Amino acid sequence: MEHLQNQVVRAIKKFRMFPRSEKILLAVSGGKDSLALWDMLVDMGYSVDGLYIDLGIPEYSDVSGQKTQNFAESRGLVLHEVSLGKTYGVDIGHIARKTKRPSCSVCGVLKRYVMNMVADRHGYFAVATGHNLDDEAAVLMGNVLNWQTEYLQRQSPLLEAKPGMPRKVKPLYRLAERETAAYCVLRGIDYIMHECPKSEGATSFTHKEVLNRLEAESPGSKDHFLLGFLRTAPQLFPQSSSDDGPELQQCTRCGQLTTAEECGFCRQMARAGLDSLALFDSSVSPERN
Amino acid sequence: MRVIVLPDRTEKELSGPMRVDRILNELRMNPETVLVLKSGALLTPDQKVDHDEKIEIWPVISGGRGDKRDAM
Repeated sequence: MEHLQNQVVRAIKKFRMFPRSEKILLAVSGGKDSLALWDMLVDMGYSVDGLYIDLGIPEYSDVSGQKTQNFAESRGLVLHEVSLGKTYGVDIGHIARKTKRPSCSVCGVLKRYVMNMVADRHGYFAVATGHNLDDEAAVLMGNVLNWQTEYLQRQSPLLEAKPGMPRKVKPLYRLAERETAAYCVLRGIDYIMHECPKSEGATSFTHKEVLNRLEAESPGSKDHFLLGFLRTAPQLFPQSSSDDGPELQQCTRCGQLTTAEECGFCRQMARAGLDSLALFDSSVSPERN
Repeated sequence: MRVIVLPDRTEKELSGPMRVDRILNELRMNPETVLVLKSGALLTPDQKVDHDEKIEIWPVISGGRGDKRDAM
């Protein structure tokens, strides 16, 4: 267990993710990775609050929300909650149907938006997510297979803050998901084991399967693939002043920074016939103790 | 032995004693993708399970988070 925490400490130090003095917002799903990370960071003395986004998915969101609330309550931790179902009376599938886009893509837009919104509103230094070694190696494999150099260039466990967008960090990138699951067992953390039903058939599963077959044949393959990439990436993609990306402006509807007149989230919600600003007003954020 | 495969608690019967790595091989499961528990404790691949014992197999693979734009 100490080894697992040491890997997280190493990740935080290597990328100078956040100092102990700053307040961190952790996106929590009720799954093994985010709850293990929350437990580790709090145990190591970091100040970490949780953010749970209820996507209103029948028979899934209720359970994942309950596990998250139980974890936070049992440890006296602060949990922000934003609920799609309670705000609009719809689930993520409704928006996917209306916008004719895959649920995982709609979910990605919504989650990034809410994370930025809550972190900005409450002044968090960084947003942490529970992406682990397997997640990141699978994404890397997908990006390499499709030669998406733009995405490869951005791959790092640390994304620097921009105005209105907090720093994003992934302190679990050195830990395999087998290790975070084992950590939960050892610490008695009750997490949701079922997968999000909307992720069924996702290509990330295929990439993970291939990587795990390689790992079984040749232990250390996943580590070499991802950590080797991270060591090599600075030479492959040297930073230049033009790497800052396109110029950002304020969304005319919600005020968040975007490359277009209206941000992707507001456009997505408008296409689904929903008021994007309502989500702001309905989020529940308890006071810190 | 009784083998309970989570999350749906599917039951399987195997003859014991048998090592954990052999059990996973019999069930065609990649050891990288599961944890094996007996009475709430983690088992290592070289540990033996007796014929009259019960074990649980927990899947550890999660997905649907592979958003390439938000990669790392």
